[in-house]
Amino acid sequence: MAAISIRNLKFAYEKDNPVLDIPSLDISSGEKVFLFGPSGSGKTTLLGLMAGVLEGSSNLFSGDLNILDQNLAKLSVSQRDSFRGLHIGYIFQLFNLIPYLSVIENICLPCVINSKRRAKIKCDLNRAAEDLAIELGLKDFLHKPVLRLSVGQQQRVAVARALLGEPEILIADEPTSALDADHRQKFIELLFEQASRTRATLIFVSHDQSLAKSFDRNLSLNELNRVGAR
Amino acid sequence: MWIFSLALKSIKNRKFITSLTILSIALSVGLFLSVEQIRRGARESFSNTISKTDLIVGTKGGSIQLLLYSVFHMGSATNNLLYKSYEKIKANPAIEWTIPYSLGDSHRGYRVVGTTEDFYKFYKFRQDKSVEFESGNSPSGIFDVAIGAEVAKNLNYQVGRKIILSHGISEGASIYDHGDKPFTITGVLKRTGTPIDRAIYITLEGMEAIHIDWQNGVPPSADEMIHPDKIKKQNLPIGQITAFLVRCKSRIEVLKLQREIDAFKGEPLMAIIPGVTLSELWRGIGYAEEALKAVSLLVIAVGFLGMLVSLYTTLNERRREMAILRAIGARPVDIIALLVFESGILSALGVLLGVIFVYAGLFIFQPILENSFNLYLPIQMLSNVELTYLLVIVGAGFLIGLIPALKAYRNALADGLSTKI
Ligand SMILES: Nc1ncnc2c1ncn2[C@@H]1O[C@H](COP(=O)(O)OP(=O)(O)OP(=O)(O)O)[C@@H](O)[C@H]1O
Ligand SMILES: [Mg+2]
Repeated sequence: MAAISIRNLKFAYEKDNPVLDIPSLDISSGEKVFLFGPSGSGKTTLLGLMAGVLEGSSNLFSGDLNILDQNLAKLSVSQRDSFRGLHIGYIFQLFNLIPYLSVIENICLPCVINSKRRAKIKCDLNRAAEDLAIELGLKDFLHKPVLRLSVGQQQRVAVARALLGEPEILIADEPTSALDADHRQKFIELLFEQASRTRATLIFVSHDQSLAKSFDRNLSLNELNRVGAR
Repeated sequence: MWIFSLALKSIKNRKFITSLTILSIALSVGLFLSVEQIRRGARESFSNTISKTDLIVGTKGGSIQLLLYSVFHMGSATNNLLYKSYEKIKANPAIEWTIPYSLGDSHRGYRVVGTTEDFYKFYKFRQDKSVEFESGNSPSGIFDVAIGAEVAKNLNYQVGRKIILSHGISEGASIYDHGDKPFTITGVLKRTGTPIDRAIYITLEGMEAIHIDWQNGVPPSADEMIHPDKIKKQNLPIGQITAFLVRCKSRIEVLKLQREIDAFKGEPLMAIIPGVTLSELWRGIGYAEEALKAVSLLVIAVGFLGMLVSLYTTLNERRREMAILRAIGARPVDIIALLVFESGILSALGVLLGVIFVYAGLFIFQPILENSFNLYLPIQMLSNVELTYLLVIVGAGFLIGLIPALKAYRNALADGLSTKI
């Protein structure tokens, strides 16, 4: 099964200023993909389209974008939001967490927002979140305010949140750029381990080529994207 | 309701600024409600004080002043009228009953009213209620006195106790006491919720008797003093009274009688219709009330403006928060709801705290208002009008949240998942 399938995708924020033009891209289920490209090449934009956050209004967006065999353009805005909430775990580069919630509350939030995702967890939500957090080495921080955590710890909380409810697709947008080399490696190992456990498809964005070798597949956005080639 | 609990936590996170916001809304709502409460309390207690009286007669002067000193025991009369004039007018066949008042003395700050049996028989308040006795009965002897419920309670007086009246109206100790002529309490009136509760009633003869030996407003020296035992009701002519209430046999006669009294030959007199003068009073106070109300509504607006500013200025630092919420599945409308809830919760808490302030204030200031301004404010439920106002205020709080909410909504749509800040 294809986790992600793209045909003739064109996207622009402003008219006459295209950002993306991707003739074809297929990512199969369970694959761990490394997506790289220079700054401003449209990596975050592509992730936003995959997650269904960017408005695909007709004159700026064209082509087919299928996630888990669902054509996102056919969904209404709120259907896309709940589709994302249910099937996608998203990790930002930095500051992934809601500052006024505790670690455990942050981890639980996607399942609180999306009842279908909550329903995928068979036991108590807090128990599941705690188990996962402990597995990620966050045992001592469960009820701490997130701002007391180091950046590396915050990123692990973000992983826990992305994983809880076992979404089929994990998207990470430069999640390691604020970590040092040692932590970066550990973080990626942890992400791989969890993605394999839940058989999730992982799309990992970075411009740090040194990370590329451990992934199943490396994708250069500039090669995929006809806008960049021009 | 995750948005609601998220809004609560977000508010709790910014304790300092949100408590300031809540406080400013609470204070403005408190101000507004106090104005309303005082207005309502004043109007109700004023219009409940006198019923079934068609005319109040006194010497010529301000009509509001006459109403205030005769019925509400506020301020004082400048002149008395001759008892002869009273008797002449009273003889008019159009009149059903009259109640004479002779004022000017006090006892520990409470006004002394000289009157006749007719007061207990005819006086009506709160539509059709009459003055009744809690214990004892009406004063009949010269040195008998009946006291209002409030007087009895505050001074802890019972029937049988002797009291000394003071000359003039003063709050504390008076310069001149009628110490030579003590009075005996023969009755305690039931609580009426009107100025009657704070008055002391003696007979007209009693009022004459305590001043019988006075010369030019100065008490007698020891040898000039007339001993109370020597004063007899029969040979005690009444010289003056301060005012009197009139009830006509038919309403049609009232205006005619009023004209007659206004043109009275013997001395310059004036008759007022209580309801008319009361509404004159309200009209005078009305501007002040409206101004106060407008000011308190403005203050509420300022409170809201503060809230708007505090919500709006945090929006930029909260852009990332909104992007995160979007990334984990929140809809753009959820973002709107979050901010609308935040301002709604703030204004609801502000209103609640404001109501608490008002009741606490009523509780604390009720005795002070009552003693110093003769204004009795009952502690009662909020009126429907006030509740409506409060609901509108909370509603406005929610609506105001829409302004930052729509801004956050547009931010969230434009930002998508990019997190530049
Ligand atoms: N919200 C937006 N509105 C308009 N233009 C945008 C917006 N976000 C990004 N762009 C533009 O789209 C292009 C691609 O931006 P994008 O953020 O996808 O790049 P990126 O590859 O993620 O870069 P980086 O590695 O620096 O994160 C850029 O030229 C950028 O200026
Ligand atoms: Mg980017």
